Amino acid sequence: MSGASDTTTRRPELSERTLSVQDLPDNDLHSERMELSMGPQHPATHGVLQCKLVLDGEKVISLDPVVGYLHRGKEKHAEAMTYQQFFTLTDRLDYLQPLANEVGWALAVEKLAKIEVPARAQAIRTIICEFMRLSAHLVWAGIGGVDTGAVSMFMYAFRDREALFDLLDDLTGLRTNQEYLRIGGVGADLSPELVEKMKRWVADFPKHVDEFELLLTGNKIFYDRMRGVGTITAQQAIDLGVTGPCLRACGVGVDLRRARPYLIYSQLEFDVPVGTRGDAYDRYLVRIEEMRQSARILKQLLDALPAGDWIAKDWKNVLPPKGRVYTSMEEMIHQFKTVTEWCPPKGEVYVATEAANGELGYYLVSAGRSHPYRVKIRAPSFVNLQALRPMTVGGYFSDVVAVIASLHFIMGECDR
Amino acid sequence: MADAAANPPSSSNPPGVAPAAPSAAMPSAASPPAPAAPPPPPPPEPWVVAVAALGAEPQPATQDGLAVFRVERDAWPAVARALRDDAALSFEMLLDVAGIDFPKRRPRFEVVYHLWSLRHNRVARVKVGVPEEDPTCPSVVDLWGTADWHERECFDLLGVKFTGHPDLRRILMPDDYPWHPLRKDFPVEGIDNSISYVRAGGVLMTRELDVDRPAGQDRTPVDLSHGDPAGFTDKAETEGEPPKAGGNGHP
Repeated sequence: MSGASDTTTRRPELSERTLSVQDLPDNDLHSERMELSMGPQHPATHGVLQCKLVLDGEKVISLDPVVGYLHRGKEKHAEAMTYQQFFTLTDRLDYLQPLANEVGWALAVEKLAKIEVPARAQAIRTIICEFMRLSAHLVWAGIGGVDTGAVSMFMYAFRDREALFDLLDDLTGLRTNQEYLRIGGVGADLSPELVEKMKRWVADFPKHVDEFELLLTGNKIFYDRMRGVGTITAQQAIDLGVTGPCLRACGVGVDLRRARPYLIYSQLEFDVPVGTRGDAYDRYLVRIEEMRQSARILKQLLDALPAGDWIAKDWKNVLPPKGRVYTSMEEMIHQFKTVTEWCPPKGEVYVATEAANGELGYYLVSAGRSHPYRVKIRAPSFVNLQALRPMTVGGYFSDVVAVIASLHFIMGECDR
Repeated sequence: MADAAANPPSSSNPPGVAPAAPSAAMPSAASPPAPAAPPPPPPPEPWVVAVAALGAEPQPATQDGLAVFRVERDAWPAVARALRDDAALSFEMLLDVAGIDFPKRRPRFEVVYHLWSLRHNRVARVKVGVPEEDPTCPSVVDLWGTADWHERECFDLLGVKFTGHPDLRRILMPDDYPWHPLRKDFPVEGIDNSISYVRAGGVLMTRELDVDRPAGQDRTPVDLSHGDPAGFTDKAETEGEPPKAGGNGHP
């Protein structure tokens, strides 16, 4: 534990000192109250989160999450960037799923400017959204395993994630922070060879999820660490605005891919896993099942990938492909005008997608200029993190780590 | 929440799409480009009428088709409670609170709430205007617990004070940070306050940090006199010279 254990100067009251253990209502050993600062540099807080804890022995009396250490002012920067430029910053929100953040931004801008996206581009976007969900869930599984003592889980999860990154490398040219989305489509086509490679990966993946389950699901130590820990009710979760797997673990079967469908999710078959108890173990089970469902979605998409354009041929609004910019006068002019003076109409949109951690929303206000007037990012990590307090207070100190692992937030997205 | 749990909204039940309700006080900034022959607007849905009866003024629909309402600041707590508790409305979840700065408009600030009804699968947008002279807005933490951090963020970045908030302090910026950076008169480049000095009586003194100090005070003032009649200002577009990024540029 980092941080000094600032014990308070309060001495135990005489009455407290004379109480015997049996006299205490919960039959628990009470000790001097201790304040502990956990983080912001702490391996289990998943980035730079600081938790100000007040402990009574092993019991957590209060927890105050302190965020903002990774605040980079993305919303302010957006007001000085063009719409296409802002893709670069959305990559760095939830850096485990950069392309899913880009998809949300692209959908918001396209809704604002009423740009039609071709079917193939929509399918490619859906594919990368699901790959991103897997990428984020694999890190969650690996790190969550480490946090709860199952260190070998990390090796299994990152083996698959490396193979997934190889696919993304082939598709976009980069392993992470790809900046692959374009307004109106995507930056490059998905080649038939790569589709075959992706199909092989997707066919193998459910077997690997079985391996994860062999390692963790029935593991007595893991079960005891997670079951009944960090419980919140559905009512609490809704009040706190919790979305995504953490809400579904409470028994509320709400998934934006179903509830407010975007891309081509309404044409796909998949199940929405729902928990019953709302504890850390249910959150684990929901995410594990979501990985299987993502593989199922990917199989459908890769088997029936529509032919056609991968970017809208609407060169007044969309960047033309580079090859044509270099060879055609018309496209060169369009490229120049799109980069320098493209302005969507005035208006405002709120577009939300189901990211790995919950509802990722972009509220975009346009004044009809080449820069957004205001961008508000509804980051699921920021909102879900508020549930950390009700999940941990009253529990044991060692459970804080398990709760953080099961809640899973990314501070890059939380602090923006 | 038994209903939502038992009957998850399916894709056959699309979210409520609010039709454009005619309104005299429509801000030109929010209206989409007028089509050549506008079709007559369909009658508003019953729930939109119900919200309007609470004292919320329906606004023209935007590109995303959400129902938009404008609520007077004083009426907002009562309207919010009805929005959450009325079974026909039942907006159980507060998705987002966004503050926007319109330096040329009166009132200057706008607090925008996005609400989601899980039961009816609808999203609504509610706007509350907050004047610059009295930048306060009633808190809704007692209705939606999630408003806690959202309102802290809005206070931190825009300087809107939420009355009734149990613990209103900065959340993203450092506690002693003196400005509200999402205001339009705060330069994008930021203001370097790592060394905060003022020259007083020929001596350099540490400047005391004051949360309520407007951005740019005792520094190069930022010119806001430009802008278009619609009330939007866009510094990066209209200003010849970007505002000085503080630094140690004190007199």
